[in-house]
Amino acid sequence: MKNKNLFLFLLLLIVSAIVFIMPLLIKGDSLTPKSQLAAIISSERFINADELADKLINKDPSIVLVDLRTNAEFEQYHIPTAINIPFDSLLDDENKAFLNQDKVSIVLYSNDYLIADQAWFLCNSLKYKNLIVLKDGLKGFYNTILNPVLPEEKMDQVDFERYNFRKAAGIYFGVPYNTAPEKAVIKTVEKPTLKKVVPVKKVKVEVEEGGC
Amino acid sequence: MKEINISKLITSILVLAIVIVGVFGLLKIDFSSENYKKLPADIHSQLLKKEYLVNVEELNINDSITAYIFVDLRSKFDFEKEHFNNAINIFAPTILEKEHLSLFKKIEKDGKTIILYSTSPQKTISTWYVLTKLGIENLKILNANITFENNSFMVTTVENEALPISIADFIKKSSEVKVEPKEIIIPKLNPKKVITVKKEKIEIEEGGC
Repeated sequence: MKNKNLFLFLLLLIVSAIVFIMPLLIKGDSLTPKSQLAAIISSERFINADELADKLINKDPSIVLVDLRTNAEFEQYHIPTAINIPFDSLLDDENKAFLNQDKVSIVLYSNDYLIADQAWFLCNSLKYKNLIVLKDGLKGFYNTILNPVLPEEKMDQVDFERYNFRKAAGIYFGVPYNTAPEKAVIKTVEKPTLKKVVPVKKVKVEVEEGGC
Repeated sequence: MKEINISKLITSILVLAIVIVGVFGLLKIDFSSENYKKLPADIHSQLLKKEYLVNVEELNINDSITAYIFVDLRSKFDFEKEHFNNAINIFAPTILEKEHLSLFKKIEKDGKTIILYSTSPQKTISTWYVLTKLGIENLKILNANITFENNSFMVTTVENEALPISIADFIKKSSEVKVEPKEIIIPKLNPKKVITVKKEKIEIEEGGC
């Protein structure tokens, strides 16, 4: 009787332990599709070009840029301070240690944001933290910061201030500022002298008097 | 006798505690939700093959329904404005609903390709990712931007991950551009003739009384 009770007790103990641990054993990454879909739909993972430029100019130490393009594209041009981790080798062991951390925010970018978004999904599935995607990628960065469009005259003062910021940021990121000359040339032109006007006295025509 | 009662009491408490832990564990399992069947590494290698995109030009409209089914991930409002013929509307945030998942599985069972589309491939990729990870195969993304302008349904094939210009060349050309200095013309004024007027001395009459 005593042994039977002990057996039942142990059985119950084992079953309970298995049931308790089961959710953790179901899959390596415990993110559920529902929670991941909610994170994907949310736009919190994006940073726009203006915000990024501001952080980089102010040398924000909490930001690290990761360029996901190929090595050749990276060599041609990359946003200053970015490091290159091509998308092909994203999940390599050597990159895991760099991407899987919680000290800084990692901004992922590619030419557009299709690949950067894919990289975000993969890293999010692996439960990597503090990952951000540059909205519209390098294309957006070029259109916004490196080659901004001059606002129309009727536009708001805020738009002009934003344009000035973008133009200045462009210089910081390597675009030379050449829209104004270094020194204006001052030319003096002699004013034409006015002709002297000599008034001519009109001679009154005298009508002869008398006569018939 | 007393010792037996105490041991019975301890045993009952322990059993009760174990049952509570077991029930708690069971409650933690979400039996209603689907679980991922693919690992991130599997998806990564699938993405690298770049076979998940399909251009409009590659599709034969006559094969619609028999070979593939369009799934419109936009809102019902946008879907009702205009959509591809025979397309099904499943709003992206609702893809994990049971009826939608079973529909995806049914289409897959029938051996048809599911072509997902939204306003752009960027908007569609997240849905593709979640469904692929759930183990649904035969999924493709329509490589096009969908807009509704002037009462017409516009489908434009896009070139993903392509820059409109080489940024390095743009910077190089910008530094080569020489801006001529502006000319500021200032008219030189002729000096005004100054005619000095001699002041006549007022002579005080002499004499008087």
